[in-house]
Amino acid sequence: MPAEPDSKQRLLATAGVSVHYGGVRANDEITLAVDGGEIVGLIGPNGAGKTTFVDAITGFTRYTGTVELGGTSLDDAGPHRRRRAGLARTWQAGELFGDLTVAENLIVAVEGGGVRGALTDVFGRRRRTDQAVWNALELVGLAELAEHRPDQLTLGQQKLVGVARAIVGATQVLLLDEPAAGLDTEESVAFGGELRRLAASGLGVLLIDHDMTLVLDVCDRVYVMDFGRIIATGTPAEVSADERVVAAYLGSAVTT
Amino acid sequence: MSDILQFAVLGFSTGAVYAVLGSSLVSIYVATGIINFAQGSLALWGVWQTAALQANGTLVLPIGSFKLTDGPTDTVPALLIGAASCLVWAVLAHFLVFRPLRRAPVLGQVVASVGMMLLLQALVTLRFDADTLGLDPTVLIPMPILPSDTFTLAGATIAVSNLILAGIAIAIAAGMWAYLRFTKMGTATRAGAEDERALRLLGYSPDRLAALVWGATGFVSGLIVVLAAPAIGGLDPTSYMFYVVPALSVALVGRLTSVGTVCAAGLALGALQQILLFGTTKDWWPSWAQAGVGDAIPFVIVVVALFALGRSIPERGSAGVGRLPRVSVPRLRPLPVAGAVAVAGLVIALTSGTWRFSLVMSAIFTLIAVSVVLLTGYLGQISLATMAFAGAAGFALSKLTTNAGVPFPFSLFLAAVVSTLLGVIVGVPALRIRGAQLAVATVAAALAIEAFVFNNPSLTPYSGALIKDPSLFGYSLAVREGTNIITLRFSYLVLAVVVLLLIAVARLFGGATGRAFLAVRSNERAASSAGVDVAATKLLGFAIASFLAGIGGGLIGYSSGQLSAASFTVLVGLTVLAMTYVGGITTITGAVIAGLAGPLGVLYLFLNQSLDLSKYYTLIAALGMLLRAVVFPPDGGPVQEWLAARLPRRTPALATGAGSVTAGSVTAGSVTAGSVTAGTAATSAGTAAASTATAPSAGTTDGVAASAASAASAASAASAASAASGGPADSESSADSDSVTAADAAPSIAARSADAR
Amino acid sequence: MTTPTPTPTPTPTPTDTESPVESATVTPTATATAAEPALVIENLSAGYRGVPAIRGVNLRVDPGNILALLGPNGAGKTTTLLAAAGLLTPLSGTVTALGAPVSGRVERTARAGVSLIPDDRGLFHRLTVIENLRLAGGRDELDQALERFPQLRPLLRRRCGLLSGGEQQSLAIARTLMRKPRVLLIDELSMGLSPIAIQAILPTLRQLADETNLAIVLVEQHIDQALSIADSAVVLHHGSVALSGPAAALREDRQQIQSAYFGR
Repeated sequence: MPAEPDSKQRLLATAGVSVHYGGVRANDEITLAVDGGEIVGLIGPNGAGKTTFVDAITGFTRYTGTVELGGTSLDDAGPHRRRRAGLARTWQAGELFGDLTVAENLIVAVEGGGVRGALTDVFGRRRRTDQAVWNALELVGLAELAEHRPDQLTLGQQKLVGVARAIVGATQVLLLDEPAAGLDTEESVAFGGELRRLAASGLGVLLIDHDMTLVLDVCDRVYVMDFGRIIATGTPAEVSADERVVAAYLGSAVTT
Repeated sequence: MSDILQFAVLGFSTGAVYAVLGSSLVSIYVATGIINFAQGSLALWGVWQTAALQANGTLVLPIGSFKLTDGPTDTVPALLIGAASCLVWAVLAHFLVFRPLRRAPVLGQVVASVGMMLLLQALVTLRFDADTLGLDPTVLIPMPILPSDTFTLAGATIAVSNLILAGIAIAIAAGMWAYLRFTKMGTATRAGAEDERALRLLGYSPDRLAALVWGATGFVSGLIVVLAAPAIGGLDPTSYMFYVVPALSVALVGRLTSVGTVCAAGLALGALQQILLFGTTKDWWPSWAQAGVGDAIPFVIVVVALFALGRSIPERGSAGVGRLPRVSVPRLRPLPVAGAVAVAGLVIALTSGTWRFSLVMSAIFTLIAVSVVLLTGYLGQISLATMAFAGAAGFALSKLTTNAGVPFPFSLFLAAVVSTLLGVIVGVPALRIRGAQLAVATVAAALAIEAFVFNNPSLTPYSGALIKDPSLFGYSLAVREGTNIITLRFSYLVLAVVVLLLIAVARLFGGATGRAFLAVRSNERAASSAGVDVAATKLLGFAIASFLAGIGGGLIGYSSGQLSAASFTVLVGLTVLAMTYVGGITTITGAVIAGLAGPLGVLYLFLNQSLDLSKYYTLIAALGMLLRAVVFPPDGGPVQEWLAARLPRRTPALATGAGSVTAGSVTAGSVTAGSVTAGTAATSAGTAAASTATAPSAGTTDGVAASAASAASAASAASAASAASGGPADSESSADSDSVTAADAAPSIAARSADAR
Repeated sequence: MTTPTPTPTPTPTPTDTESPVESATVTPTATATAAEPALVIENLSAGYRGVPAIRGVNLRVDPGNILALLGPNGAGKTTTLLAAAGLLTPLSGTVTALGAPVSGRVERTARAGVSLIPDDRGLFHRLTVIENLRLAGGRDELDQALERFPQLRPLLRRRCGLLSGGEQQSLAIARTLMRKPRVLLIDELSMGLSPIAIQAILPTLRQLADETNLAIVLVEQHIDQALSIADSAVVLHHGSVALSGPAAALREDRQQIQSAYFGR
């Protein structure tokens, strides 16, 4: 469970993060910050480079620039180190482990593997499921589905399992890549409520989504991306009134 | 210098074979994404066919044969017919085996192509026999077709035939290159390798393009091998089978894309091997490296190609690739386990002689098969080097007991540690590659170990590697005692070791290790995003698997008292993988089945003694693999899919029933994972066939979980029935169904989710 | 939803856009002959792993018409196009293209004259531009394509993966047009492109529809520009048709579209 960081503490800070694919600049000097207890939105049209940014800061794509978590640089760490350090993400497609139950999907994220884990498996006592796993499942309201397999769940539930897997353990900052895509309106609203509860526990959340209703409702601050760049930032009200944002979403000609 | 030139040119004959087989493998990979381990065996049939025609004009078919000509057939027709027979086999393989598997998990494709390889090898031995040919096959030789002239160049004697072979190889590779580069269909073939969906949207059929490539590569592979046969290996089946390994390694050098590079690398490899062979005759050559150097080169090449060249090998961009068979974590229940051990102990006590020996071998091969289950089934890493790990431990055990005098339990443990280290080294490529390419790297490693260690006289004396009998506190645990070829004590020793390790593996599967393995298997990037160290997990898997195989190899050593390389050949390793896949690659039960059916196990003895069918053993194993891979794959195959796609609707009750069949028989693990798929197929088949009133009693859930055999036969009966009734009817009848469809983009997924419901 | 009548209806007057217009059909007066519709989708449900992403979608396009298929992400636009091209077998409902049922037969549908430009544009990045083009037709078609898209001429020997986004967009359309399709399905052609690049390509599509009687379904996130060339439009929301009608009417009433996108 989140290691109760100071509510207003700066948790995630990126500076000048750029990603190049061939000659294309998919991310251009992205600088943003997420504090503890805060929900920050990252929005922008398709192909703006949002997922690329998440891939970069979680260690799945090469980038230039710096990524710091709680003041410690993560630039030399691989994806699993970043996760164990407290920077967790979800995936657009859920990407659950289909062969594991819902609870096991979360257990993987908290238990240690390796040689020591193998020796404990063979010679040690069978471990009880970590309380943190139950807490995380409770938080997303899926505790009663713990023994189900992911493919027995609805898409919405699968996404929530992905979120639970990302918050279990020493997570400080949660990166949500399109968690609401494919959810219906009702599920989306409920999901917003869960995000609020998460943030209230001290977690920093970076929410990437197309569902403007969700983003504008739930976020404290919003960054808007287009063509790999941050084009606007501010409160939801400021951003949704911003001409450039409407233009980026609906095309150039904006009528009022 | 002139010697080197002379040997280099000499090497062009094998080099030409590597070049053409390698180019063929690349073309097939481009066209289908499949790495065809059977390419060498395919060509083997052509060699024998041509030899038979040239001897007395017999044309041999898989079933039946006839005299094409009275007396020997002329050279050119014999050559062309031999090559054409390879073409036919290749096209058959495409339509019957590989096309149905185009969206199957890579493991299924690898097993199928290994199955093709064993099938052809077995068929060649069975079909080209004295009865069919009307002459003793041992007198058959491949006739030289190319001129035998030689000339002298810079002091070196050069055989014209070798230059011609190299020229033909270059011409064939150039032809393939030009086809892929300049023709519309060749361009489309390359396009399909990148994005099959986009190609289909342009109206091209990837299957037809692939059929062309299969046929053409089959023909040229046959052609070059028939021409080179007199120089490279006569008619020995296994040597042709494994020409595919150097060919695969040069194909990797060409990143499975560049035919030109592959051709050059193939010729160079052939020349290099001959030059090294020449080098080994020199005084300054280290004696430990006199044997097996040539065979070790491909592995070196693979490693260099993967690490030094650095660029990744493109994977085929096709939608909806299937997953590995589902896993159900074993639960250890003391009572059933104790019962099973007691039964095994009792059976061992009640038998004697060869039967008891086969039981003990079955136990040992169960352990080795469990190592396959762990590494391939649980972790998803396809390794073909299992028997090499086992063998390494066996040979280490010989050194430890005879040279160093290490006493029993430590000797076995240390021997297994040796193979563990070897396993970790062989596992390193797995950090860079996956799927079939990893299979290539491991098979190359296995051949290198086999040639360089097992068959190396300076490491392994010709007399065989002796192993001192085990004893504990002065109490002999030797396998033999007087005329008794297998003592009860030794049998119980093996049983105890195997059972303890199986329990340990079951605990691993149920613990953090098993979960981490399955996480890596199902999704590597998600695993690392959940904090799992993917690289460390893979190496741990290789380490544990090779430790288990090492213990198995040590026990094989103790059971024979003296090791021969024959126990640990790559072929044996492939058979073990095959048997484990047939038994169920994701369950310990599957490993037990593999042990019983495995080499020298109970099934083998049964076939040998009771039915006198041992010569069909490889054939039966190969057919089992192919049937399992193509018709009843553990992940839900074309039969299941075909039925699912044509079922107009499935009532909720039945659908639920199918789900509980799956769950039920997996957890029970009673028969095999086979009963899972067969059972599901039977259930769905039952629905389909209901209209024809021939439905087997598979509609209810309980009846299905019976035995694999009966479920399988029910499924095939039902599929025949529904084939009659369903026919090529359009799937429009599924219009108002809300439960079953097979989305064309991902039919296997759709079929699976239908099964799960 | 009832089945749209096969005979073309005259342009409805955009008075009542509150209740969704039954058929999204607008017939330009130029082709007011009783032509067979190019693409008819009736009561279509389709999705992945048996889970529908769209439910009960109806739409219809006549030859020479452009239909803009709009809606926020995840609304089911791509699913609709995939089913129309035969890449996805419907869970229920039918797709009829050029008078023949589609039902999951992608190669046959493609050869019959239905072309889909998928959202990744479906180009082969390891092939050169000319190789990409040659896959779609012979020399005559190639010459015509280069006449229409002269900007591709200097790039013919270049690997497609090295082209800019705008160049790839041109190549995708050029290659598709070489196949002389009668139904063209375009998914987010403007993905990641600047509005200028879109402004350059859309008039070309309008021209094609008018000149060659091509029926086009256009999925596009730049709504205004899509509506400016479309005859009719369908807005999807959470897998169902939320709004449909003549493009002109929807252009007038932006409030509705905006609320479909940004929520109510």
